[in-house]
This record gives sequence, structure tokens and C-alpha cells, in this order.
Amino acid sequence: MPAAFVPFATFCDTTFWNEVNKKKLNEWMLDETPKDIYAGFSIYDTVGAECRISLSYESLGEHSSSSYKGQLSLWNTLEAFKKLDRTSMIKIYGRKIWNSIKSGEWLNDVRTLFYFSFTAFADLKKFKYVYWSCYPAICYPPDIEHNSLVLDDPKPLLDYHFSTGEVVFILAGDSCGKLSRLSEFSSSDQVSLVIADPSPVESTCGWPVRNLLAAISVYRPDWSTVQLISLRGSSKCFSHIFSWRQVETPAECPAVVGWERNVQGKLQPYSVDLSTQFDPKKLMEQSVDLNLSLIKWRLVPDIKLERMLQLKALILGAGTLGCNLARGLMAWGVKKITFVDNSTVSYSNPVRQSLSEFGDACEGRGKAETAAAALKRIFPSIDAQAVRLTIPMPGHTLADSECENLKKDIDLIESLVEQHDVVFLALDSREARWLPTIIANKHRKIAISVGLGFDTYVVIRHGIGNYSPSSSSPANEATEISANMLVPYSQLSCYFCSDVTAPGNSTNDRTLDQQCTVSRPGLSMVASGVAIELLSSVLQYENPLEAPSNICEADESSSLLGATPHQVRGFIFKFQQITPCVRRFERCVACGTAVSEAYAAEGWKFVREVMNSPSHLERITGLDQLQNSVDNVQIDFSEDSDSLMSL
Amino acid sequence: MATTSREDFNRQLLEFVELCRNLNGPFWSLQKSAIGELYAKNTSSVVMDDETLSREVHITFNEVYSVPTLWFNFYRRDGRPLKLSEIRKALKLEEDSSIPHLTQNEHPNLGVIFFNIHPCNTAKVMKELKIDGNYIARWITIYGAEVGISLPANFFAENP
Repeated sequence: MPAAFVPFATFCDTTFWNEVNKKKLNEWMLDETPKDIYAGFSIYDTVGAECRISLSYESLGEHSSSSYKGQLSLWNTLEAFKKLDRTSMIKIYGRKIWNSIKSGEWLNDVRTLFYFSFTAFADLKKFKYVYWSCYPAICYPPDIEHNSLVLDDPKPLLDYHFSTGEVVFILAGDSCGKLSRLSEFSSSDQVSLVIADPSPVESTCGWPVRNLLAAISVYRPDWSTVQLISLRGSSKCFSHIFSWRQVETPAECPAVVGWERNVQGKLQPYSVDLSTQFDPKKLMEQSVDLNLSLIKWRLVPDIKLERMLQLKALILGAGTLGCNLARGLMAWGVKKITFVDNSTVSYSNPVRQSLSEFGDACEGRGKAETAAAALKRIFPSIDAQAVRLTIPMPGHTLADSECENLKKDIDLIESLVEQHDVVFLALDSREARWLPTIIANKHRKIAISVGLGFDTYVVIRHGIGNYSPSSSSPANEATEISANMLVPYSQLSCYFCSDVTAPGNSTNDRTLDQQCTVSRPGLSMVASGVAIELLSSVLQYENPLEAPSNICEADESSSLLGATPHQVRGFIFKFQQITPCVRRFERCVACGTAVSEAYAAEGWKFVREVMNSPSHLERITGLDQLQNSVDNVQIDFSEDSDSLMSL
Repeated sequence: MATTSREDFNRQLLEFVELCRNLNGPFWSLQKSAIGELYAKNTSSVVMDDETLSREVHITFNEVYSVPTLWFNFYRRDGRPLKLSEIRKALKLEEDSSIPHLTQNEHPNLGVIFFNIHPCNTAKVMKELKIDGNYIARWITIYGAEVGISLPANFFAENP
């Protein structure tokens, strides 16, 4: 039957391209002259329809017993690669091989028959590679026929191959010998040729056999047949009889074929994007994600990490707390962080604020901008944004001329809150938290307030805004709560719920140490850490927007990561922490229904009114009446109380 | 013996590579790192879902855990490495099952990203393994199986 040959398939691994990257950058630079290259083959493959050729890190080093030598042409531009005259090139390669055949060089160095060419263009900025290999095969002798039968015991042949490293050798009787000894045999019956054959296809020889047959037919013009053993490592070996039509040896090299076909079987180059393997930014991304996934190994196999990875966090206040919160979020894999702040880095800041430096203070850079820039330096793939804005505050009187800006600022805060999943209130005053509380409530976002005293801290997750008209009366809710000790997320208090006065301008009439938050320096890290971990626990609740809080002791079975308390209050002077749970106050000046409704109805005008006159809040919530009623309460001390007092 | 020394690893690895060759097991080539550390490499064609892939597997020694470590990548025809999800599919792993302790890291000798089975649990596994013979061979019956490497049935029978 007419002989067929299994073509080559080039597999370049990343270690090969890594070597190419290094050599191109440091050694070759613009030098385009061809370099020596060695391609590995294997006689152990038993699957696939092609002879596998591997280009790996060793390919640019030294040759081994299981490799072919070739040349690497790495072009400086894609254009140069594209406009290569591949028809002429293959003729040149063919002539080189033909010369080895004619001169008899192949008998001493058989690998000259298997010379190949690897042409490539490497984009070292984007880590994109285009390449095309050529395994020249001389179409000679004509009309090759072949028959094959299974070879019984290839073990001695394999041993010879491994001990000598010979790719092609002869077998005469029971003894193997170097190919150069072929001259000792006059008839093709006396000798077999053995070739280490990379073909995985049973009874069909690999591509290198073509040039070997061409060489034999030229070397022995009187032969028209040869026995050839195709040596395989882990599948059946076959002994083949090849025969051909005898013709006079041509003076010029016959036709040559061998440019590799692509996956679709077309004569086209291959291209591959390896940025995920080489781009340092992408490497860091993968590393960060993989490191987080270690949590899944044993500690919390079912953790929903994607809830962190996909989270969009808005941090209001880019000070000490804001910076530390961002670092905690980043460590959890959060990729989208937006800072809002209105001030610039001052000289006192960098030592406490983990995202700013001396230079930022010298240049007077914005705190939000500084923090966002630092995050990007630390982790280039993070999407960190900065917004410079002063949050409108009750009691901070507004001139009429500023109304237009007020409206714009409120619109901006609204859209920021809407675009994020969680809002951290890390602002330095009480009143600055008022408007964000209302807006987070309106959009039903997770809002977490973090506040510091000198040696105390508080972390509160605000109750999730609940707009569906509640059917259950307060009395019913109370029984529900007492039955299972759980307060639903929508019934939890906000930062302001425990207040019976409206927030006002807290910086009036304060000394410097009262105006600035003076706290024990380690406190901010503790509080930020607690806030991030409260968020991470809440996010692991089945539906995070429904994560309830236990009214007594924190319930550590609440989510995959444990308890989801409403508040965490810490007292560093005694290194103690408590987790109170407080119910929402219907008349709250921030999340109360009256305020929500007033804001929904009047928007920025309502905010303006409160800014100019915080007592407006007390009026619409009815807190003023509550205050009056307290004033009117007459307290009679009973005798029991007296006796208690005397204790 | 649950752990091994570098010296013993080298000896066992040489023996293992030779055994594989004699018993028609997977073919390993011995490699040396830039600082002379011995490791073994196997490259094979594997067919998964009608696609021929190239699978590269390395055996290195981990000093910290004193055990061998398996490194691997699967490459498509164009040289693109398979992602974890694709490998999972190719190895026909269940959706929720996972190769224990699989991570992706820089290869200790090559500085390129490979998948590896982290050696933190290897000593424990080796301790529970009740078969005799070459240490690397015993180890790879467990860890090689994860990536589709198997040893011939006569491997332990013919080997004291």
C-alpha cells in the first residue's frame, strides 16, 4: 500500500516562551540572525494523530538524545514575520538537507536529516506570540509503498537507543550498530534500520522517516527496498518494508513540503496570548485570588469568596479609618473601592494613615486621591477611585449662593451609593454621617459606621432600609423577636437611633484636641479590622441583606464565618468588646420614617433646611414633643429607692 | 517513611526513572536546576474531549516539607495553558470535587506559573500508604493519579 507519514505538531510550553522573553530582552535584543534550537520528541506517546514536538526551556540550551536540531528565527516586527517568503525558505532548508544526503554527512550525523525551522514574532509588552514551524520533508523517492508487521521484542533495541543516544541505527542479525556501518552491507536483506519514531499512530511511521528514505535511496541507488523498524517506547513496535520506484538521482533537490498546518488544517501560523502567564499584573491578580481560595481548603470549604471579589465598596472618609478599611477590603480580594473625602494630606497624617506618605503631605494632595493612588500602586488591578467632596452636614449653615452646589453634591452622593454595594461611614464627625445614613437607607445598601473615641470604638451595621409597608404591628414584632431572639436586619438601629437630639455642628466651641479625633493609635486598626470582618460575616449569610442579629449573646452559627452582630463596641482600656443589639427607633433623625419620607419628597431642599436649622429634624420626627414630655415627668422617689440610695 | 531527605530523594528519583524505563512506565527525563537541584520531567500527549493536549509534569523536592512535589501544566495545540476549570473538566472531575491542595505557583526552578499540589499534607498521606517499594513510585501512585499518570501494574510486584 502507498506509504503515509504522520506529520509533526509543535507544542510550545510557557517555559519556552519564558526563555525567549529573557534571551530577547537581555541577549539577542534586535539581533535577528537565526539561533540554534532543539525540539524534543518522544517515542512514548500513544495518543493523538500527530508526532508531538515540544519546545520547552531546554530548547534554547543544549541538545539531548531525544531532540532534533533546528533554527529559531525571531523577528523584530510582526510585519517582518508576515512577509517572509516561506516558499523560498523551505527550498533553502530542503537544499541543506539534500546536501547532507548527497555528501553522506547524514551517515555520521543523522539529525541533519531532521533539521527544522521555527519562525516567530514575540510581542514582549503584551506577551502575544505568533509562530510557524517548518519540518522540511523531501518528496523522494517516488511511489513509496509500505508493509508492516509487529515486532516481538523491542527491548534490546530500546536499550541500545537509550545507552547510545542514537536516533537512527542499524540492526544486523541480533546486533545493533552505528548508522555509519550501513556501508558494510551490500544488500537490503542483510540489515534493518531502526529509527526512534515519535509517531503515536499504530503501524504508520512518523514524518522523519521521509527524509531517511530519501537518504537511503540516494545512498543506495541500487536498492529499491529497505527494512525499517519504527521504535516506540510504550506501544507496539512495527517492522516495515518500504519500497519505491528506482530513478536516477536528481542533481537538484526535489520538491519539499513541511510548513505545519494549523488546527483547522490550513497553512497558517499559530498565535497565542500568554499575558495571563507573564504579565506581572495578571500574575498578581491570580496569586491574590488563589491565596484567598486557600480558605476553602480546610477552614471554610463552602465560603462564597465571589461575594467579596465582586463587592463594590464606598468609603466615606479617607483618613486613618478609611485607609485601614481599604487595606482590609483589598486583602479580602475586593476589586472596586471608592473614597470620598474633602481634605488634603497634612503632615500629621502619614504616620497614622496607612495609604499616605510624607511626599503626599508636601504636595498637599487630596486624601481620597492619595489613598486611591496608593491602592493602585499596591495592587495595579484594583479599581480605586477618588471623589473630592464635602458631605452636607446639619448645623453647617448654607448660603443661598451655595444651593446649586448642594444639589450637585447630593446627586453625586446618591449616585455613588447606588453604584456600590456597601458604604463605610468612616467620617470624623457625627453630623457628617447623617446624610449618608439617609441615602444608604433609601437605597437599601449595607452601611457600616465606624467611630473612635480616645480608647473606645464602635462598629455598627445600620438596619437595612425597609420600604415595603410593614404589615406586622410593633407588638407582633416584639413577640416574634422574643420567640427566636433574632432581630431582622431591617429592624436594626442606625448610628443615630439612640439619639434624642438632632445632630448639630460639633466643631463649634471646641478646642483643637476636641475637634480632632484623638485616639490611641492602635485603635483604628482594631476598629477597621472588626468592621471588615463584620462585613465578611454578613456577606456569608444566605441573603446578606437579611442577616439578623441575635439579641443576647452573639450567635456564632449565624453565617459560615460566624456571628453577625449588630454592633461591636470595644473598650481598649480593659481590652474588652461587647456586641449589643439595638432595635430601630421609629422616630430616628436619620432612618426614621418621617425623615425618609421628607427626604424622598423634598430632596436637597430638605437637606438645606436641616443644615440651616437642625431643630427642624426634631420637629418632623416628633422628638421635640418627646423631650418636652420628659421634662414634664415628675419622678417620685419611693421609700425603697431611698433605702437603696443609702446603701 | 513519611518524609525524605534531599539526598534520599535524589537517589529514589534516579531509581524511579530507571524503573519506569525498564518497566515501560511513563518516560521521565532528569533535569538539573541552575543551582544543581535534581528534578524529573515528563511530557506526554493526552487526548481529552477529542483534543490532543500536551501534559507537562515535574517532580521536585520541597525542602520545607521534605517531600516530593508535583508540578504540572496542560497545553493546547497553540501553547495556551489550560485554566483550572478546564483542567477540572479535562480530568473529568466532579463539579464540586477538587484536587486536594491544588494551587498555582511559580515553579521553583523555572520561574513560570505551574499548577502544583501543595506538599503540606503529603507526609501524612505517605504515612498512611501501606505499600512498599520506591518512595517516588509510592508517592506518584497517589499524586500522579490526579493528573492521569499511572504506573504499570507490575511496578510494585517486580520491585522489592
